[in-house]
Amino acid sequence: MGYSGQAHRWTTRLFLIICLCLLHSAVYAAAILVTDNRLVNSQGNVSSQTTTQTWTVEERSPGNFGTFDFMVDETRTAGTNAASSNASLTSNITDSLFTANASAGSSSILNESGNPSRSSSSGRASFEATFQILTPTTFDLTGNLSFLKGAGSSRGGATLSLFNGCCSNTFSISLGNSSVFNDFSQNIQLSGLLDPDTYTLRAQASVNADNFSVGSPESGTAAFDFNFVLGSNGAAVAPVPVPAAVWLFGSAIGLLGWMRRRVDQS
Amino acid sequence: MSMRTLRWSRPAMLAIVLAITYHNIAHASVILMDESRRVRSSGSVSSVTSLETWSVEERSPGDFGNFNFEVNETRSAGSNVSSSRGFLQSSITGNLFSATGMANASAGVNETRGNTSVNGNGLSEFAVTFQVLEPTIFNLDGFLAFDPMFGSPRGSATITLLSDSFTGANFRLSFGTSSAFGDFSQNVMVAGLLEPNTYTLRAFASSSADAFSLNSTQDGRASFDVNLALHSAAVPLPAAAWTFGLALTMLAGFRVRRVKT
Repeated sequence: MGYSGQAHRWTTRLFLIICLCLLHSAVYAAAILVTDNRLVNSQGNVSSQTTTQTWTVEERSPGNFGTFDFMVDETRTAGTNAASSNASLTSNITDSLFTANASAGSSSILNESGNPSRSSSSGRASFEATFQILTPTTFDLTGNLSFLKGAGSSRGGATLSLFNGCCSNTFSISLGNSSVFNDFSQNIQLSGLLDPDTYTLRAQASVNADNFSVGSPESGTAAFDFNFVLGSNGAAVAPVPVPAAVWLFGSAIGLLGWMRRRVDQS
Repeated sequence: MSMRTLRWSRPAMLAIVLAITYHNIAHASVILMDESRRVRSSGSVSSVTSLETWSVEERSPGDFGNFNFEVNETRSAGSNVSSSRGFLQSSITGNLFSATGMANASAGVNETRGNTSVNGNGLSEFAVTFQVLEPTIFNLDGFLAFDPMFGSPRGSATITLLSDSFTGANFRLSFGTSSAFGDFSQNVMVAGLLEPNTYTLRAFASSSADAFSLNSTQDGRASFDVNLALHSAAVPLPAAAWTFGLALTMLAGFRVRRVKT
């Protein structure tokens, strides 16, 4: 029959493709992205004897993952007093790779004295992604956190944390410092295993420059930079997969298909 | 210098240099600073006519090395009974810290009048503080569990690796729970790089059983298992180091042969 030869071959091939797809899902288990909350923020106020200016400028990600690259940079003056802050974030979220590079800076200078003269500003860049892991999955986290105090006594910091949302099996990694008055730089290099659960990866860099005294400028810059990979080579791999069973099953199916093909040919 | 001395001094010097190089690249620069290991059993049991309380604790002398201890106490008052146990088997060496700890507690009320209270508290703690002088690779693995066998005992099982600083970079890894009422178990597997700083590894298990009502039994068991291995971050250069060492050895060999001839 015309059907049994060619059609059967195609059925066998289709079956093999389905088996390969099943094998792929067994070995590769991508994370399920749950929420995305990324933003850059610049805010502050500057006032002189006669003028006051306050501002808040914030750009938020629409929450649909993928790339979010934004920068805010604002400067305001009141008389000869001035304040400025900036924040930038370049980031990407996929189901197996989160990357971000961010910096936040602020500076303020007070040239006029007397109430209510004041100059203050803050810049903030924030990255937060929540994801769900369905099978035990390896992770690799590399990056750097830093705060560089410029002039005066500005304060700021950079933090990175990875934690789960569950009740008893707490998994928490917390790195960096959110509020320091001195320079710091911290390299991050961690890897490990995430058990099935919902996790949040959060990074933040922020700087505050509050100036009350005349003639002493304040400034600082905070930054974070990280790569978070789920699984090896960007693919979430179950660390203890079922290689023996799956490969034996796959090879047996392949062998069966080949034998069937030979029988059909003969 | 005689020919014989020359022949032996060079290979000997080379061997020393290689040994020092190997030591430097294979071992982390870690200074043990402090340790706190202990097991404790405490509780109280009362009946209509009697009351007993106890607290038995064994602490490590603070000299690192091994500390293996168990305290296991049972008290009864009338037909009420309470017991608790703390167990710790641990070892602290220059670059390897390992511990297995268990904390059990049980309490049973078989007679009651007035404010009868029966409770037991078991505890096992392992803590070591160390200083890392150069970037050091760490491998932390472990297991945490709490098993409420009967009733609704409370427990905790945690592992933390911390380096806290008010003025600089913090490093905090925290696993497990400090207040569990239900069954839980957790695998811990993290590796990475420790920057030069002072760190504290702490593993803790506790279990508390409080029984008040007649014919009630509480029983809970908490445990931890932790291993922290430290290696110098320079270890990933073995190929270069060994090739260098091999070349040196060959050069020395040629030199010795030339001296011989």
